[in-house]
Parts: sequence; C-alpha cells; structure tokens
Amino acid sequence: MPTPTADTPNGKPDPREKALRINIDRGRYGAFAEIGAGQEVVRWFFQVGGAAGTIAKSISAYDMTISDTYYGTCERYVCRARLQSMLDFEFEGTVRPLDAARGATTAFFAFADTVSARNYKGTNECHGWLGVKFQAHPRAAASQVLIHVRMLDAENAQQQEALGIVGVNLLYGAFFHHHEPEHLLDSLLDSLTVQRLEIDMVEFSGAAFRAVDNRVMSLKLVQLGLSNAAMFAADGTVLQPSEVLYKKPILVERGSFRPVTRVHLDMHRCAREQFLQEPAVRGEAVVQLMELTMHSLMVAGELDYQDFLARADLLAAEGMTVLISNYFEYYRLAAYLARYTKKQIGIVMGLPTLREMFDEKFYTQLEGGILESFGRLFKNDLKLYIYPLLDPATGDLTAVQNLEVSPKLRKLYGYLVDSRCIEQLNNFDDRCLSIFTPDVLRKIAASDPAWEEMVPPGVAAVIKARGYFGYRGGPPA
Amino acid sequence: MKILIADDDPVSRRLLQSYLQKWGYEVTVAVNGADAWQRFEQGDFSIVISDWMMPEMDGRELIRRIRASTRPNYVYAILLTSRSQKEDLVEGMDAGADDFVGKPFLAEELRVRLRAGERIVKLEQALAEQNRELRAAQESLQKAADRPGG
Repeated sequence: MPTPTADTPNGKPDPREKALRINIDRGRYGAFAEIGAGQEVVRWFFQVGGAAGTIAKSISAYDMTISDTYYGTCERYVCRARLQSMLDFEFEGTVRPLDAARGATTAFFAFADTVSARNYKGTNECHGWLGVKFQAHPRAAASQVLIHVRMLDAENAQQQEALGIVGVNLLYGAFFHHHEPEHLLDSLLDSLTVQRLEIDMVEFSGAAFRAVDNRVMSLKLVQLGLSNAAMFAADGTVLQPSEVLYKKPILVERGSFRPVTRVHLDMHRCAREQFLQEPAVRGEAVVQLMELTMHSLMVAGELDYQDFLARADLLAAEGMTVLISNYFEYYRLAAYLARYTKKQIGIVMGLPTLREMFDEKFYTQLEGGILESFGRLFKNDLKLYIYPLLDPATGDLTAVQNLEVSPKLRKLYGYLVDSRCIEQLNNFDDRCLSIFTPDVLRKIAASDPAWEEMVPPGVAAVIKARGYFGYRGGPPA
Repeated sequence: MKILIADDDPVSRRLLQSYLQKWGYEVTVAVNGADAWQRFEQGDFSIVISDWMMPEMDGRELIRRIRASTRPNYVYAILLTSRSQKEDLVEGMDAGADDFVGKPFLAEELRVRLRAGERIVKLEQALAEQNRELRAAQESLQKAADRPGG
C-alpha cells in the first residue's frame, strides 16, 4: 500500500495516493452514485484499501426506471439537472440517517456522475457530468462543485479510466483544496492530459465557495488549458456549451469589449437583422454570443482578473452571453462551434479584422496557408458579417465592396464575396462609425464626459458606479 | 460631367457616390433599375454606372433601354457586377454595356475606367459637333448652289 505524499506544487499525488488519503481521513464519509461508465470513481477507493472509512454507499442505477425511482423522472439522463438530482438525493440520503450518530465529527459528502462513454459503434458524443456535494467541515452548510467533461480517448476502457481519475481528483480537490479553488481547478487533470479529457464547465456553489466568482473560474478553465472555451450567461451563471449551442444557429461577435460600446452593439444588431433573413435561419432561435479571446484579455502581457470582470459586468449590463476562448484563429473558433451545430454560423467583425484575415503572415503555421485556413473556416455554411470602417481623418468609408487586398488574393476575395461567404452589413447606424474603443478609454481617463455618448446608457451607469477603467468622476475643474 | 449610379445596395451606392464626387463628377443615385430609368429620362447623363442584379429592372435591361432611347448624345455605360464569367460579359456587352467593373472594386481601377469612358464621351461629343458643323456647311453650300445663278 503506498504512503500518502504531501501535496506540494512539485509533487502532485497520483489518484491512488489521493484516494488513500481520503480513505484514511476519518472525518469524510459519503455516497457514490455513478451512471454510464461503470463505477470507475468509487473503484479507486475500494482498490486502495480503507474504503469502509469513506464509503457509506455505492450505487449504479443503470436501469432507467430504477434510476427514476431514486432521482425522479427526466428527459435526458446525461445532463446537469440529472446530476443535481442525484447529488441532492444521495447527500440527503447520507446526512439524514447518519447525522445524529456521527454528524458532530463527520463531514458528509455525495459524489455523482452521469456519463455517456463511447458506445460499441462509436457514434455517440462522449461526455459526462460529475459533481460533489459536501460539507467542508462537520455540520457545515453544503458546498458543491460541478464539472462537465468531454472524453476524448478513442476506446471505452480508456474513457472509463480517465473518468475514474478525474472523479478522484474532484473529490480530493473539494476536500483538501476548497479554500483554494484555483488550485482545486488546476488539480482536476492531475495524471491526465487535455488530449484525454476536456473540462468545459465548472461551477462552484455553497458555503465554502461564497467568495468564488464563477466567471473568473470559467476564465481560469481556459487559462489553465483545461478547456479551449468556456461560457457564462449575463447573470453570471456558467453554461455548458453543448447545452447552449446544440443544433442552434449561432451568431458570434469577437471583441476586446474594453469597454463594450455603441458600435459593438450596433455591429451585433446589424448582423442579427441580416442573419435572421438567411433562409436557413428564419424562424429559428439564434444563439448570440460575445466572444473574448484569451489574447484580447491580456493587458500589458498579463491577465488582469479585475479588468476581465469589468468587461464581463458591462456585457452583462447589455444582457449578453459571453464565450471565453483560446481560439485566436477564426477557423478554430468555427471548428469549435461546428462541433455543436450543423446550423448556420455567423461571425461579426469589423473591416480591420477582415483586412487582417487576408494577410498571409497569419497563416505561416498552416501547411496549406491561407487557402487551408479559409477552407476550414467556410465549411458548414459559415458567413462573415462585416461592419464598415470610417477613416475619421478623410471621411472615407471602407467596406467589403472596396477593400483592397493583396493582388494575388483578389480573385479569392472576390470569390468569397461572390459566394456570399463574406457579407457587408448595410443597416449600420452612421453615428456609431466614429466611435473607437481606445478613444472611449482615453476620454474616461481624462474625465471627458463625451465618453458617455459613446457607450450604451446601462454601460455608462455601471462604469460610473464601479469606477471602471480609471473613471474618477466628472470633468476636471 | 453628370453620372447616374444605379445600385440597390446602399453601401455600394454610398461608396460610389463618395468616390465620384471626390473626383469631381456630378452624381445622381438611383436605388434600382426602374428608378434609374426614370431619372435617366429626366436628366442629361454622360455616364451610367449600373449594378447588374437589381430588383424591378436589372442592369442589362436598363442599358438596353438607354441604347434604344432617341437621346442624341452618346451615353457611356459601365456594368458593375460580381459576376466574372465570360458568358455574362458577352451578354452584358450585347445589351450595350461599354465596360465592366467587378465587385468588389478597386477605387483606382474605377477611376481609370471612368477616365476612359470620359474620353470616349468627349470624342463622341466632338464627333457629333463636327458632324453638326459639317452638316451645316453642307447645307450652306447646298443653299448657295440652289440659288439662281449659283
């Protein structure tokens, strides 16, 4: 039997050591409920020995009717709601009968997962929900961590193994790192790689995580490389991408949104109006996203969480769902979205971004260069919606119709415009064309009240109330 | 020189109008082929730039009508089109277009094509003037010859 090792930054314990440490901790006692990929998590605790001190109950309710008897009926079995009902049922089922006898010295927990591992034909989406509901200390109010994973191993047995490891990591993190949620997050893929398992959603809640902002945790998921993208709603709720994007037409606008201005919203409005006219989109519920790339979140080379939250708050003020991604290249963003939907995808961008897209220096890492990039980007009926650029010095407008690209790319550009892969937005508000984000920031810093006209009223109110971006009050005396 | 622009796309219209005014032309804009034909009948345009695909009346039909009109001066017609196939070019030329500019267009290319058009319009005007003068001289000579003792 291995000896438990200290959890130091330089020596991460393996799943065996983690399971053992939990087993020999007399203060932890709880239930395991697993559906869909064997009982891979609890197996670790049985294998390492001393399980009797940890496991009050282990169940795998495979039969749907049996499962419904315990957890209630549901439309889908691998979803967040099912996971929550499993956690609630098992947590209550552990605490209620045992609290009187050992509640004063035991921190109870319930672990659950509901998973769709690779089927025999390999035709299903391999993913799962895992969660732990636990008392950080005896008789403490419950806390909870939920994660959603995409299982990327090619074989079912490998997927089961990875699931077992991430489950152990989740329990270990919740019990021993709940006071350091970032460390907890970072430890979830210990003994695993992102090539095997991707964690695209995490949600902390309850007493131990009162100070945790799940939007920052979503950002950290991407920053730590556990996922390439994460999403949250305007109210700060973390979202699991496939639940939002599955089989929906998607319209996404990328920006730094520092801060979100009238022009950003005008871009989105124009694009939405044109996107809704697409025959394939008419009558459909369109998912609208504002995308922040990790690249755009860097301020002076560093990730500033306060700055990120300021941008997120302002997008929330406009009711926007936020996608954080590590997809600098648009074709990677397109591939990510196409993973969830075969419906039409629209990407909104300003003319300067389109101009950059026709700069070959951005494609040197691709064997097929710009052609490969565009080939990947424009499959699945994707369309770029372009907002024009006004030169404030000359008053000249540049749009899709008069954009100059390198002579050797002109035929390609013409073809893409001809094929309506690139479309000019023609319903823009002229008053927005002279708004540039750096000017807004400069004016805020200089206490020039003109900035208030450049952002929506709700955004101005939040900037003023919270002193974002160096706002210090009215004009200088 | 007066130019009539016919394009149903508001951004294209705006861009063309802005360039042409900057280059010193007097510009009238029409939002489709039918509107353009109405304006053409009321105005005195030397050059017409028309989009190919437009609602109500397309660019080819507009140019056909312009060619069939009894207007004395020559009108230089440029078709603005995203189509690049040869058969379209033949069809457009057949309808009476003098030149094509592809969409998306380069401002500089449009400018030199307009200059070429302007030269042709001026040549046509000069030729028409010379013909008028020639006819007048011929008529004078004829009158002199018809005079008794002439």
